[in-house]
Amino acid sequence: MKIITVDQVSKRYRLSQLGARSIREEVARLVQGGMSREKEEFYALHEISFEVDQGETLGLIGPNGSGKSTILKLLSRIIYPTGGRIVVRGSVASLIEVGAGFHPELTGHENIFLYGSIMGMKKAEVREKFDRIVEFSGLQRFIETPVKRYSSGMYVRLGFAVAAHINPKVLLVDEVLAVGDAAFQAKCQMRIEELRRNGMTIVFVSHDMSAVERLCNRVLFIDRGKIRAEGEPQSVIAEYFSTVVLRREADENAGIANGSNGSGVEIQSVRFLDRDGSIVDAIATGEQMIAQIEYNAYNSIEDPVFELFFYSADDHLHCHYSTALSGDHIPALQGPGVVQIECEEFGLTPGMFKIDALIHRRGTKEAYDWKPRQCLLKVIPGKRVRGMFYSPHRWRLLPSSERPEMGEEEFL
Amino acid sequence: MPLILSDRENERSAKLPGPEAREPVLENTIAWSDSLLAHARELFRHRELLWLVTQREIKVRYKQSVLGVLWAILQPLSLMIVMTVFFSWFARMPSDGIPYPLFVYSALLPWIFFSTSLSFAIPSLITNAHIITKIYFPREIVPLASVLAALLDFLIASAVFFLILAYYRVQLTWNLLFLLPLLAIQIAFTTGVCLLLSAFTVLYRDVRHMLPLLIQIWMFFTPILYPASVVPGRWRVVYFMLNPMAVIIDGYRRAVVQGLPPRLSYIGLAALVSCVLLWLGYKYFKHLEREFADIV
Repeated sequence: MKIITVDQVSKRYRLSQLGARSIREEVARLVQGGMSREKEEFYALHEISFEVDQGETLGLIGPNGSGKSTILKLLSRIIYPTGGRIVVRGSVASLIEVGAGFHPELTGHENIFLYGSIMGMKKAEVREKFDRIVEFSGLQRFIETPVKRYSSGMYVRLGFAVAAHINPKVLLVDEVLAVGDAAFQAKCQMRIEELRRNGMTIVFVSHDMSAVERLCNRVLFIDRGKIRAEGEPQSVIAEYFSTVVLRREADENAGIANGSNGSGVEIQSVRFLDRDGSIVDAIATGEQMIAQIEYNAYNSIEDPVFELFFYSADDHLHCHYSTALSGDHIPALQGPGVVQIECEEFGLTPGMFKIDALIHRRGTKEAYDWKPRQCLLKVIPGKRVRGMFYSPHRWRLLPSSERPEMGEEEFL
Repeated sequence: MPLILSDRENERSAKLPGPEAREPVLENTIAWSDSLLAHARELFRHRELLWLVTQREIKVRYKQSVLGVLWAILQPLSLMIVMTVFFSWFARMPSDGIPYPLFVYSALLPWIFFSTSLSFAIPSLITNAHIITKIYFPREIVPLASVLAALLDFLIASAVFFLILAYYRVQLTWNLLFLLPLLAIQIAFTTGVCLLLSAFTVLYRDVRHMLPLLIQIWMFFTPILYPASVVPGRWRVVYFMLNPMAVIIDGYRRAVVQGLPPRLSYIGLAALVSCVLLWLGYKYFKHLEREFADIV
């Protein structure tokens, strides 16, 4: 059953009307512009359509300002669409900035009732769940203290504790998992997973791609107010990375990377190949990995060191290869060429990886060329692995002839 | 619980160009429809929230103050004393033969109810912007809670008033029963003004600066410090017709202190004006409500 139907929905803002007006401005505008309509319009969303099924968890991803939060606000009735049709069959609760309904002068206790009621709970319901809410927040000692004396962490914990105990048909979650300490974050994620298993329909906005991939059945990639891609999480996240993240990070790093301005060598491309030598964009865990760095040296480059970095979606360095560390010597470069690295059994686990390539002079930190986020590599499930990485290995049962003598100390 | 109501949105659709050629339809949402009855029902479903927000208003107002709710009594009482000293002893203001403290207090109490409502309710949407942009609930709850909180203050202060009445040995009559319709009319009028102006304030902040001045001027146009009888005869009709608050407050004074019924024809008119204003205010509020989160 379709719980949410969004049909051709647009949200338009007039740029000059974003703030409240004063009568003087209004009069001034009438005098100057007469009856002319303002032209500066901005579509936060442009004719978006999608549906969400009962029990589905839909992820919304996209760069900042793409319209993700606008969708949540429309679904939760905070704002009103400029056009289109929104049907939500059932009650909606939103975790958009939890604790927003708190009043600083009231105690935690009083705020639980106020906030619960704003979020649509009946008083009796709050009373019944009160102990569980307090326990979830871990704020038993401070529950009779005005929340203005709370730390920001305590504030959010109390807000989430209330919000996590509402029982709506549809739950809207906006980046709330990024709050509190690690333990509390884990608690929140567990709670959301529990609600999901109980069949609640969830719409989830996050920049944390690993959370999106883990929690969502389906993902929409929103960019500049439109749906760019829709479907199964892995492929949509890949699309998101290849269009937005790479574009942005390359821009951001353009200033840091010194490129080929005068250094004499330029990295032209990084590519991955399979066993047969054809170019691929995905490699399976535990399979052979061949990468080629194509360069062009305009001058003679002495003592070059080639390096390749594999960054995860959340920018952790997962793997790094360097000719300096492996002891491979690359002779002086002149003209165009290709350096190849081969790895018999590739150790990274499935996910999207962002690739940096670097050429620098041996023994210095001075880069000849650095191409941050040069390309993407998708690692797909291959050899079955649990844990952080795959490493080549084999098991066997030792024959008695190979068994070492058991020493006495073994029994001590 | 899904609530599917058809709304009468399509009338305006022809004027809008581009992708918004069709008016938005939100099926589980009665909040965006134009039916006031549906809005009232939605408000009724949120009555617990209205009560909690009212409690919040009161608690917050008197938190961290030693005297707490006593302020609800002290404020009109001290004003009454000051006014008695200056206007009665020094300026010899006529008071239709009623002891001046009684005379002024009987009008001051409902007036403070009115002015407190206005000064809290009208900027309330702006002071609560952080909630309005984050959570959905019927927005009229915010100004209504301010009016309700002021009403509670009024009831507390009225209790003291009856002690003063006893002290002056005022004969209470059956006309006291007029208090109930008077209060109802005043609540309707106050709510109407508050809904209208609080929504208007979201669009034009000027109202906020105008408000203290407006309340002060309005006070002089209302028989609080002086009896309505000092208004020249030919002006009195206009005076009562244009200002329902004048009729209401005059009515309170007559019913409680003078033992007279209110001026019935004027009260009828005031009741009519109040109901129309309430209806208009609610309609206007609900119409603008769609934009609150965008511009507040």
